[in-house]
Amino acid sequence: MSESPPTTLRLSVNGHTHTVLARHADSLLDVLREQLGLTATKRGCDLGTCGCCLVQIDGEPNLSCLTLAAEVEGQQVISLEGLPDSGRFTPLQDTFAEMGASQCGFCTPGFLLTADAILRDNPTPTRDELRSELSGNLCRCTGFAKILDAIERCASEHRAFRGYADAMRGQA
Amino acid sequence: MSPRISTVGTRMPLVDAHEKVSGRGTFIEDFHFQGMTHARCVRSLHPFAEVLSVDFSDAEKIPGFICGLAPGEPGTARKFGVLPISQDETALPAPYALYSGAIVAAVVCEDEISARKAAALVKVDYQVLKPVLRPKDAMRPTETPLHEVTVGGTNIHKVVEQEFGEVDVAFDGASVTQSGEFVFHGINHGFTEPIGCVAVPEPNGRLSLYSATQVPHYLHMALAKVLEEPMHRIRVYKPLVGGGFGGKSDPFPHEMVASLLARKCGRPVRLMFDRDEVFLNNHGRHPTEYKLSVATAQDGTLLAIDADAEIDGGAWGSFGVVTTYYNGVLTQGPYRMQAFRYAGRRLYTNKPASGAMRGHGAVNARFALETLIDETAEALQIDPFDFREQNALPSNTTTLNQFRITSNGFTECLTQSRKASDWDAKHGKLPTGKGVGLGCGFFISGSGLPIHRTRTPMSTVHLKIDMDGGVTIHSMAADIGQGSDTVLAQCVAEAIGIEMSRCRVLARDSDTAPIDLGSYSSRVTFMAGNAALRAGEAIFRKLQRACSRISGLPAAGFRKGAGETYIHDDDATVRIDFMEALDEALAFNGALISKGVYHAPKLGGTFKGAGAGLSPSYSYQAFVAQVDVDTETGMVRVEKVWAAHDCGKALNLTAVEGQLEGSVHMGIGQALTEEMKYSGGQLINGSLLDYKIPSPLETPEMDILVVESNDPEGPLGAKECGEGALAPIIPAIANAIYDAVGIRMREVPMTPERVLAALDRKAKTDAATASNEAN
Amino acid sequence: MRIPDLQLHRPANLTDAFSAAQHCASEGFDWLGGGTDLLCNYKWGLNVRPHLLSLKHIAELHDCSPDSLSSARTLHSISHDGELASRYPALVEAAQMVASPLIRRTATLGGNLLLDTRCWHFNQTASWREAHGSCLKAEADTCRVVPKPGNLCVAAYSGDLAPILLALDASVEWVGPQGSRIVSLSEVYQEDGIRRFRDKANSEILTRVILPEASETWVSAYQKLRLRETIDFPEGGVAVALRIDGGFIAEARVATTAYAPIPLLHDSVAAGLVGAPIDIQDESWASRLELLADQLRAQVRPMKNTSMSPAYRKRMAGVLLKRAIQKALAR
Repeated sequence: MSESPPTTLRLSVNGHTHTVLARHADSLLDVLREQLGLTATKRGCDLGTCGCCLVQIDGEPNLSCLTLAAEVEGQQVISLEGLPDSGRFTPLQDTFAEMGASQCGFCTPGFLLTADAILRDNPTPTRDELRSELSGNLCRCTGFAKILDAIERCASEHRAFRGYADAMRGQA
Repeated sequence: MSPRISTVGTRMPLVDAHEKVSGRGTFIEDFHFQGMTHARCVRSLHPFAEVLSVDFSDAEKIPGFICGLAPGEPGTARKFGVLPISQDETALPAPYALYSGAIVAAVVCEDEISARKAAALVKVDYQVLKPVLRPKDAMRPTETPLHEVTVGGTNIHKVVEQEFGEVDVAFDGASVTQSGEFVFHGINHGFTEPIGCVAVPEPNGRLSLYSATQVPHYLHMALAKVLEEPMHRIRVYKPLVGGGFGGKSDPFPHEMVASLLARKCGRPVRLMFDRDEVFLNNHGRHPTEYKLSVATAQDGTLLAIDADAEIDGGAWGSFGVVTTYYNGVLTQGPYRMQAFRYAGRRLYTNKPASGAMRGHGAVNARFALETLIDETAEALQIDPFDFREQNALPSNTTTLNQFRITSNGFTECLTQSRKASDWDAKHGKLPTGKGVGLGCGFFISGSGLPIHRTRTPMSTVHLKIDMDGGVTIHSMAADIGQGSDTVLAQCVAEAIGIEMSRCRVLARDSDTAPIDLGSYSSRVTFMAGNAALRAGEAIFRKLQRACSRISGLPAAGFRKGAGETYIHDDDATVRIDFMEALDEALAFNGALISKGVYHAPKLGGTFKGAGAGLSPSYSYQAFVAQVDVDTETGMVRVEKVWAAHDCGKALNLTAVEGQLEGSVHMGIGQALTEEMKYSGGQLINGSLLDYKIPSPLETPEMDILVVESNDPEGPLGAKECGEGALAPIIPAIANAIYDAVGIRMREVPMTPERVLAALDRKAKTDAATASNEAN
Repeated sequence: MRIPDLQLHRPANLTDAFSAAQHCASEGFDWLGGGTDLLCNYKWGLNVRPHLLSLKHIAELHDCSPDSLSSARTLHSISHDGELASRYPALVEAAQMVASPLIRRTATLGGNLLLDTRCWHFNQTASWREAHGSCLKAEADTCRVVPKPGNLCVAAYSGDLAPILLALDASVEWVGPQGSRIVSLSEVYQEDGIRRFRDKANSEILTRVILPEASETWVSAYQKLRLRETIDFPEGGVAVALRIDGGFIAEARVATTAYAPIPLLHDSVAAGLVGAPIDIQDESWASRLELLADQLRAQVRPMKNTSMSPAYRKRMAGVLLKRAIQKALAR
C-alpha cells in the first residue's frame, strides 16, 4: 500500500478557515476532533449508524464519520460549536436542556444539528414526520420522547427559527 | 412571611444540561494531555487458548512505536474484579485468553494510526484449547477449568439454592399450576459513547486515571490492587459519561492495561475502544434458561413459585454471584406468596463476560413470572389486573425471604395503568392482531449491603459554602446521564432553602470527593440523595444559629422562607436573607463545611444468601403495552405503552419521566430486536448496524404515570426510577401478543421469526383440535 | 476506527477522471460516490485500494436532464422529489426506505445501484476475520457460507433501488475513456458476489439512470423486509411493475433483492400475473396470489449470511410479493 504523506487541507469550519495537516484517509470527524479540537462532534459507532457525529456541510446534515476531510475543502462545515454567539444558546439548545431531551448528552450534538435541518426544511413537522426524520439518530437514554417533545415545542414556539447555517450567513 | 416553595415535584433541567447541549462538556475521548500517547489492544483470536508468547519485533518497526505490554509483565496477572468473592479477572492472560476478542497484549505509539498498525503486527503464539461454549458443557468436570475457583472441578461459577415455606405442599394443594421453560438471549447496554480511558502519570509520581466509569470507587480499589500502590497514590477522574446502564460498572482490564502502560512509558496513554470492542467487552445481560412453575388456589391466591435459572456468565465473574441470587430473590415482589423455591447456577463459558445491566438479574425472571401469571389468570378466568391486585404485597410487611417492605404504591400503579390504558374496554376485545398486555415489576432502590465488607458509609457528601454564596457539593456518586448530580443539588438546595443555581456539583475526582459506592443497583437517589440532604441540613442548622445571633430569637424556630430567606415561628416580622445569615455564620469562622452520610439500616435475615436483594426500599411498576401483530410476517409493533411506576416521590418530574421512557425503550429492544449472536465463540453482530437498538420508529408513544408512595426513608420521599421500569414492558408485550393472536412466547427477543414459528405451532394445534372435535 | 492510508483524487470533469483512473490503474482504485458504504468497508480494512477517485466534483454528473436521473443524485433528493414521485411513486418510496435519513443525505443513486454485496463473514473487522477465518471476498480463498472449492461468492446484493428499477425496465449509462454506452439494468449484474458486474471496465462510471417514459398504464410497488423501519439493509425485497389494460394486467415485471449476489428478475412469476384482473377483490386472486408467492419462494435462494434465517427470508419473499402486488394495484 502506498504511504501517502499528510497533505495540507484548507477547511472552513464554523466560519473560520483552518489549515491542517491531515491524511487523505482522515475522516472529517477525525480532523474536527483530533486536529481542530472541536470535540462537540462525537464518535459513536463510526460507521454512520448512530448520528452522533453529525455536522452540517453547506447547510446540509452530514455524517462526518463517513466523509473524508479532503472532500469538503471549499465547503462550509458547521459543527455544534459553530454558534453565532458562543455565550448564548439557540432555541433548540435551550429547549433540549429545559425539557430533558439530553440525558447523558453524548448523542445530543447530533440530534441538535439534525433537528435544526429538519425544522429548516419543515418548520411544523408532525410527530410522525419527526420520528421518521430522526430515525438515523440513536439515543439510548431518553426513549426519544423528550427529544420529540423538545423539537415539537421549538417548532410551535419559534416559528421564525433560524438554523445555524442561516445564522452563519447572517453573520458573514 | 411566606414559607419557601419546594422544588420537589417540579420540572427542572439537569444541572449539566447546558454543558451538554453546548457540546462543551468533556467526555473521555475529549481529553488531550501534553505528550499523550495512544494505545491499542491486541485481541485473542481464539475463545480459549494459552498465550505462549507475544512478539513485538515487527510492531517495533512502526515509526512512533513506544512500547508494548505482554502477559507476564508486572501487574498483568494481578487478579481483580468488582466483587471481592470473584476476583478472577486479570489485565492480560495469565496465561489463558478466555474468549475470542479478549485483550492479550497492547501497544503504545505516538499516534493512533501508528498504534493501529503496530497492534496489527504483534505476533501472538497460542496453544489452542477446546472452548466451553454452552452452559450445559460448563456443568461437566474438566481438566482445564476456566478459573481457579469453581464448583467441584467444573466450570460452574456459583450455585444458589433457596427454599422458603412448603413448596411441594403448596403445589400439591394448588388448583392451577402453570409451568414454562424460557430462553433469553444475551443483550448489550448499547450506550452511545464507546468505552475508553486515559492514564496519566503525574510529575509527583502519582497516577491519574480518567475513565468512563460508573464505579470510580471500585475502580480506584482495583487499580490500587493491580498496580500495588496505596490508594492515595492513585487518582480516579470520571468525566461526563455517555450512558452506562451497568456496562461501565466493573473495573475493566483495559483500565489496568492503560495504567500499566502509562507507568511503563511514563507518558499519558489514551486507550479508546472501537464500537466492536465495546461489544466484545460486553458485561451485558446474561443469556439465561429459566424454568418456572406457579401454583395458585382456585380463588386466585398465589401459593408458590418454583424457579430454576441457568445463566451463562461468559469468561469472568463480574457481578455474576449477585445476578445468580437476583434471578431468584427479585421475584419476591410485588406479590405475596406462601412458598418459594429457587435453584440458580452461573456458568463460566469462553464468551465475553456477562455482568450487570439495567434491571440487573430481575428482568428475565420477571418475564417468566409475569407471563405465567397471565396464563394463570386466564385459566382461572380472572382479569390479569384483578389477579395482581388480589395478590399484591401490602405496605409495611416482610416477604418470605425477609425483605423489609415499607412504602408500596403497587396497587396505585395497577389502578392508574388500568384506567389510563382503558384496559377494560380493550383486553380480549380488540380485533385479531391487536392486543393489550399487562406486566408488573419490583426492584431494589439501592443494594442494602456494600459490595465490600466495610464500615465506611455507602454515600458521603461534603459541602462547602464561602462568602460568594455558592455551595460546592463534593461526592463520588457517578452521573452517567441519569441526573445524579441534579439530585444532589436539589437535595442540598432543599435542605438549606436556597436556589439550585447556587449549587455546583464536583462529583468527578477521587482527590476531592468523599467515597460513594457509585452508580449501580439504583442506589444514588436514595443513598447519595440522603447523604446530600443530611449535609445540607447540617449547614441549615449553622445558618439557624447565625439567624439566632442576628435576631436574638431561638435558633430552632427558624424555617425556610420564600426567596432564600429564613423566617421565624415566633415573630412574623423577622426575615433574614440567606446571604445575611451566611455572612454572620462565616464571621471569624471561615467557610461553612458539612458532611452528610448514608448507611443502610440493618436489614434481612441470617440465612445464607440473606443479603441478596436487600434494599432500604423497593420500587413497583404496572405497565400496559398495546401491540399490533402482523400474522403473515410475525412482526410485532408496539403501538402505545402506559407505564405506572412508584418512585416514592418524583423529585424532578422531567428526570423521572426520562428514566422511565428510557427504560421502556431499552425493554422494547430486549423484547423484540436485540440479541448478542454468536458463531461458535465469536460474536457476529458487534456493531450498531447489526445489533438492533430500536430507533424512534420502533419506540412508541408512552404515557408515563408517576405514582408516589412517599417513602419514609427516601430523600424527600424518593425511591429509584432508573432500572425497575425496564423489566415489566417485556412481559407486557408478550402478554399483549397473546391477547392479539393467542400465542405464548417463550424465547426473547420475540423476533418475527419466533413469533411466526409460534403462530405456526398454534395453527397446527388448532387444526388438530378442530379435527378431533370433528371426529 | 481509521481508514488506512490512501490517496484521494478529486477530478473536476470526466476527462480528468479517466486520466486519473488510467494513472491509478496499476496500483488499484475505487470510485468514491457518497461513500456511506465504501468507507465503512475501508474502516474495516475490506479490499482497500491505494487510490480513491471522487465522483463528487465531476461537473458532467451534475447536469440535469428531464428524462434521466444523474447517478450523483443523493437518495435524499430522490426521496423528496415530488415531481418524480408523481411519475414513479414506487421508486421514490424505495429511495425513502434506504438506510436512514442521515445516510440518504450523502448516499447516491449510483452508489446504491452499484452497492457492494454483503455477508456476515465479510462485513466484519480485520481481527474478526482473522479469528473466524476470512473469506473469498476478503483475504482468503474459501467461501465460509458454501465452503466448496470453485464456488462463487454468495454475498447478498442489498440495494433497494435496483429491484424497482429493474421492474421499471430502467437502463443505465456507462461512460468510460472509450465513450459511453447504454445498457439495460438487467444486463448490468453478474451472479458473483465479488466480480458483481458484467462487462464493466473499472474505468467506467455509471453516469445516468434512464427510465422509460412514465405512463399511467403502469403501476408499481416495492416491499422491503427488515427488522427496523430504518437503518437496516433489506433482508429481502420485492418490486413489481404492472401494465394495466382494460381492467386486466397486460404485462408484468417482478424483481427481487437481497436473495442472491445480484438483483433478479423473475419472468415466470411475472408471466403468472398477466391476464389477472386489476380488482384485487376478485375471487380469482386469493389462490393466484398464493401460487405466485410459492413460485417466487421456490426461485429465491437466500443464504445463511445475513441477520435473518434463510427459511424466514424465503417465506417472506412470497409475502413481500403479495403485498407489492396489492399495493401496486391499489394505486
